[in-house]
Amino acid sequence: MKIVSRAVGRALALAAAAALAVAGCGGNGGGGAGGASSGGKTNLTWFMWTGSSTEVQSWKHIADMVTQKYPDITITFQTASFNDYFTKLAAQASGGNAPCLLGMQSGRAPGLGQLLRPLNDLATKNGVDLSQFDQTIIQGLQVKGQQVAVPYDLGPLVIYYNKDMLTKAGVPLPKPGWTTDEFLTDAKKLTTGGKYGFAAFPVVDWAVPFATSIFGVNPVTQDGKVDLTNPQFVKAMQWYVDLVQKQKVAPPIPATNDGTWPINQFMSGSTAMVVDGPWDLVNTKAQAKFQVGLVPVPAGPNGSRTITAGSGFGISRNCKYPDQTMKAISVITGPEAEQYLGEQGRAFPARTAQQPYWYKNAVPGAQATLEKANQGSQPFRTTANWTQVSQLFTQYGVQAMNGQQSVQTWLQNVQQQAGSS
Amino acid sequence: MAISMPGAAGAGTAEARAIPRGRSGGHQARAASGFLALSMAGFLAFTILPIIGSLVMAFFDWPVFGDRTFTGFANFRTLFTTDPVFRRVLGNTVLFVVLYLPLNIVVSMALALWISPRIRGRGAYRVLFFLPAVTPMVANAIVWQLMLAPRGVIDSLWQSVTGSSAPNFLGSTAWAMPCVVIMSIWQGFGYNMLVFSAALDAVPTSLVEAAMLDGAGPIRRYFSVVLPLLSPAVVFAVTMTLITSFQVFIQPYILTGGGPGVSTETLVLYLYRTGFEQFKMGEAAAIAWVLFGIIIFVTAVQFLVQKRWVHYDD
Repeated sequence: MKIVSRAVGRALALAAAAALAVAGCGGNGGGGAGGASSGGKTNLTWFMWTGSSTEVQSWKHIADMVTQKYPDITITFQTASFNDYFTKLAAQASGGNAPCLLGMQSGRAPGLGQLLRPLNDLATKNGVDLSQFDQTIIQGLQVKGQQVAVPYDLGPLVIYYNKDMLTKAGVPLPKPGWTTDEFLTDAKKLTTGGKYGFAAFPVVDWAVPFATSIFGVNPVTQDGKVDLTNPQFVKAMQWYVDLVQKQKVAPPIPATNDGTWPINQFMSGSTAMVVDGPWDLVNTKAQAKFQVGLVPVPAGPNGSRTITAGSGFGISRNCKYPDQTMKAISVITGPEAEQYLGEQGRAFPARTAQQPYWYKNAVPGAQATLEKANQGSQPFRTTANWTQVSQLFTQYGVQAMNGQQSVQTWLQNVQQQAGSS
Repeated sequence: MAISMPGAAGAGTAEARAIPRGRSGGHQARAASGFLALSMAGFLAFTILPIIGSLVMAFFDWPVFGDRTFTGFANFRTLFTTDPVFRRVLGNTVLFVVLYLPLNIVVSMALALWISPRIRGRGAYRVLFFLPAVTPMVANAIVWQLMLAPRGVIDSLWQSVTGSSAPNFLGSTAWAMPCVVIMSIWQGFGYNMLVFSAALDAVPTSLVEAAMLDGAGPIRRYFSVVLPLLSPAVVFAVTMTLITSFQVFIQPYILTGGGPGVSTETLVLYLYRTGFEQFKMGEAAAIAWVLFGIIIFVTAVQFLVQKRWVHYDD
């Protein structure tokens, strides 16, 4: 039932994006450029991606916390699915209409960070001490040395597993340090009776953790170039494709616009394991009808490695109320809001002092997993055209995952179209 | 009442003509333009200006943010020479139109014919067949996606009948486009069916009865009497369907995301991606004008050809 409501939410977001394409212009960010002010009161438009109504509720709760602290500031919350969010944001920005308060993910910052106002000075002025945050994600949200967003979360990608399915199949619960062979053995045991051990899907974020952990390779070079045809990365993606084709531990996939497909498969109990980040715990709690466990990405020759992504909030360049928006951000990324987000399981707090709240309400074993994963994690390196890379990676990947095209051709196609720019 | 209209609207009756042209005619013209001004302003602001704007954009390198530079025909040249997928996308769109248009017309005509005699519950059938056309296409596409996906309803049925898995409809290059076409027909036939159904009702029974008395069978009656009388409706349906099918977007966007690969990527979907995901607005505008050119050309050809076989009342 919840899955259906997710689908409907997605449909709405898609409809909005479609309408946008037809109209060819961004929607109005709620009066003026992303905010409106009258009689000393300011209404700010806050635009942020969400994946479920539970998440929307969490953010609206935090919007209320802002008004409680600053009665002169009210917030209108707008949302879209993760992929549509960046499309819609760019369209709005091109029309000079971006909302004042914007969510930004570290992976997208190199491409879209220029939409955001540098905010070091504003942060200091409004008492936001950036040293209280995890420094990897502080750096992840910098563009050309300028802080463009204040982080609220970070998280290494880990493996979520369905405890009930594992127990039923007699598979011992995986522990930090489990190996690739153990992962495959378990996945094979779990693939039975129409269910599968793992959900693989050609979303670059979901595939890269395996590439880094097992093959020690990243699709973006140190100096920020797309390098998908690197032979080692091709090998890694062959391994990933083989989960469907050769090992048959992951289901065949449809061509879809929807990057959350593998997570939906997991939530509905069709597959036993999936790659996801700590931010999705809020959704598994609300939607999964089974016990969830977390474990680091299976270890390769150099132990378990993964990538860390994180997100924060910034102020759009066209915003007329930067001061009020910074005040709102100071509450949204403040200790109380971070505690709330941590307890909800919506975010592994970017504020180090608030991280225990996530552990406290997470599933058993989550702390050990996250600590281990964080040790072996590196920031998710991306390029300025990452939206395009991700989209092409998924679009061409479906054929490869279904065995209709070689991995080499898949990655060459993406590299050819996205590698030059 | 074929009176030529001198100048402004409203001055065309005999009485109006009798009045010497002067204050009154000018007054009416002013009043008319006053009333028209509002809608003209809207038309200018929301139709003409954006059209001109997109034409201008097509000749620029126009990123979403950053500097814009005039590049002449470079965008068009890129599309037809170096762009790795544009020609494929063009081919996909033509393939979609070629599959969709005749099937849509045949299906909607067949169903209109079926419910045309006074069968029981005719109104209910009309509503039923029209339902897909009025439900939001995005919702329809998502339901079709759930049905067609591996382990969806269709796969399960297939497995219970044949014992093996159904083809991966949305994940296979061979099946994806047919699925998009089938879903589109299901979604779109209701509108044309209603048009044909109304036109069928307008066919004089006397003509059909006369043909019957002359010994014409049902097939002969349809092709020699009914179809010629329906031809204006057919032209209307074909023209409108042709235009909208060249602009197909939502079905491939939701159902397959243009994939697998680019096997279901259509012109408008590619336009959207180029403009709003790759942020190359100039190139996207150029695609829009290529599409516009194609539609104008095909429609013009159709209007020329229709003179030969369409029977209008006069």
